[in-house]
Amino acid sequence: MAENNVSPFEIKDCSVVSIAIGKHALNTKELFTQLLSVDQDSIYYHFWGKLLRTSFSTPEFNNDFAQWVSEQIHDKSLAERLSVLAPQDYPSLDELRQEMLDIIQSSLEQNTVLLYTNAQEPFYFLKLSMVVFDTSKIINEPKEFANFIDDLSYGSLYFHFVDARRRTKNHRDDFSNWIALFEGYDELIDMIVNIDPFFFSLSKLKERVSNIFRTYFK
Amino acid sequence: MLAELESIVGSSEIDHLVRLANFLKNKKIVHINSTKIGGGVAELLTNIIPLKHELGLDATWEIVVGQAEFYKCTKMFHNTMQGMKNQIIPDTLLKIYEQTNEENAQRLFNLLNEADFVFIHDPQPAALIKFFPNRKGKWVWRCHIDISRPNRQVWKFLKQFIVQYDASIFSLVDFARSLPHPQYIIAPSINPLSDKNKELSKEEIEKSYSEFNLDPSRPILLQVSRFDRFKDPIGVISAYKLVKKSIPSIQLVLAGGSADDDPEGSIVLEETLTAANSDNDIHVLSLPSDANITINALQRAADIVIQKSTKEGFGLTVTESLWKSKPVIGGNTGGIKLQVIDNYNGFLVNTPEGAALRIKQLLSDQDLFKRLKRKGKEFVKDNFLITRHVREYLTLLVILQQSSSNVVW
Repeated sequence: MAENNVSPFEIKDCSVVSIAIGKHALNTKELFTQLLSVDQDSIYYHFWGKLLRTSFSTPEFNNDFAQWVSEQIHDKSLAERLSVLAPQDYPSLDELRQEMLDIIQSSLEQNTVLLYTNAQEPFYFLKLSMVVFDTSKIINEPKEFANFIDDLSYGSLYFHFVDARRRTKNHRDDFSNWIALFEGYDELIDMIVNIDPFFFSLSKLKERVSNIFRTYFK
Repeated sequence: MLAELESIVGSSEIDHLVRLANFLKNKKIVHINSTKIGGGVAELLTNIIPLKHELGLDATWEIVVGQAEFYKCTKMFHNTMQGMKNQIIPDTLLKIYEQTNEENAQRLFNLLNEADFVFIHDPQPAALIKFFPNRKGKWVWRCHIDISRPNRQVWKFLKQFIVQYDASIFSLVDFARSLPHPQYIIAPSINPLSDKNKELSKEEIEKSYSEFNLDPSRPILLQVSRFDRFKDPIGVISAYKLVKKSIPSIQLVLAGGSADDDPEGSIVLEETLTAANSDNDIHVLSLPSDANITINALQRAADIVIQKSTKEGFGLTVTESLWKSKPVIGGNTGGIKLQVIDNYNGFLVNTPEGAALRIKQLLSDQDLFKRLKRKGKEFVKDNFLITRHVREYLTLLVILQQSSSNVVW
């Protein structure tokens, strides 16, 4: 047991591989139709998967749906409206799905040209398959994070800081949830919780999280 | 190898591989393709198998062997699966294909029947699975070619075997088909330590100038690939001729080897030599399949690398050239689209005219040339090195072992 009888924080790592789910869309109407029934895991992939997969490092928009609508359908307005969606702002992926459907439907109603604009490259729906494993590394007290984050693998960072948001009841990262078990770290927790991982690559995210811990515990 | 790779990708990536490999200890993994020499698949396996061994895995690599008619049939598969029209494969050849697979199944029976995981690469050995009704392990079909628009008759024939696998792997989601098992998307990779990609001395690079009569003071355009119609060597010569009108100093090198399983290579080489029409600045090099250091030197000696394929499963030469900080002009097709990002590390083109325009632009605009050179290596390091590739393979095996799409240990 660590300080305050809190169990140590066990560092996990994860590895992922993409799976094609056999659905695609050639235009906005088809995107709408497929979104009605597509597996939640696929919605998750197209919002967060960019962090762990082979890809161009800085696409113009930060989710795959918006990027495709911009590149292939050439509808910048719809792309902007889709790109502003932050998945962590929604209690569930189904509510995020509903919001996307509303936005796309309203675009289709306002701009009928969209009904006939076909993409050169279809939107292919994918999902992630994930293996999670122990690293046998543990943290006993919050201050140990200050020297630990720099050595964290991207898989560990993704699992604890990004994927945690769909696993935890309060949709927060694992670090702040564990630190909250100790007394007197409210300011640190606020700083961690305020990092929005949606706008960073994993390398930038690591730098930011590391800076917060280092600054706080210096 | 692991220690050297660690100096490139970092210790956490290597630690990650070791941990994944630990879940697969004592498991027998077998890879099967149709040649040990020549072509991208043989090269990938040459790199991947030793790395798996260093990770403590029991991995072996075997090939299927056949007579000339078998390779004729599988070359027709290759062409028609990549969309070549007006080609009908006679039933006699299809029978030879199945018979050859049956003979190879008998030869490899104990190894494959008892293996925990079997990777079958491409269509050549795909029918093997039919002869292992009581196989112990999980079988994965790894497709390296672009089958986004296959000939329906040929796909229907091959599909009867593919559906029996536990999973498929494609390089791009665009190539995935309607199949009753999970289809994983895993891009290929290069080994930065191999003879093809390791750092070379200035002397080794300069040797290629004298060896192939190239003038280092004039721009060199290079395409490295087998002599295969889908690689469009004739289109490259057309682009070169268009550039030559305004940049007469340009030199073109078309360097290719042959693969044991490709009976059409010599015909396409002849066509290429005819199109070159004895132009002294076009160097058509038919290199032996082990000329890896020569290819490495040529890629480093070149100013611009072109890969003007009209169909391409992935195109490892693109990644190899980006790793050497060369801007790449690639055909807007298949796996090349995954590697060349327009105006970031090269350009995607659809026609010889498009290629000519981009060659002229790069040779005229030094700022653009330098900017694209800088991005290539970083992009490969982040996305296309062997460590990422093996990590995804091991992840897939752990998932298959547990028969679940998500695994928590």
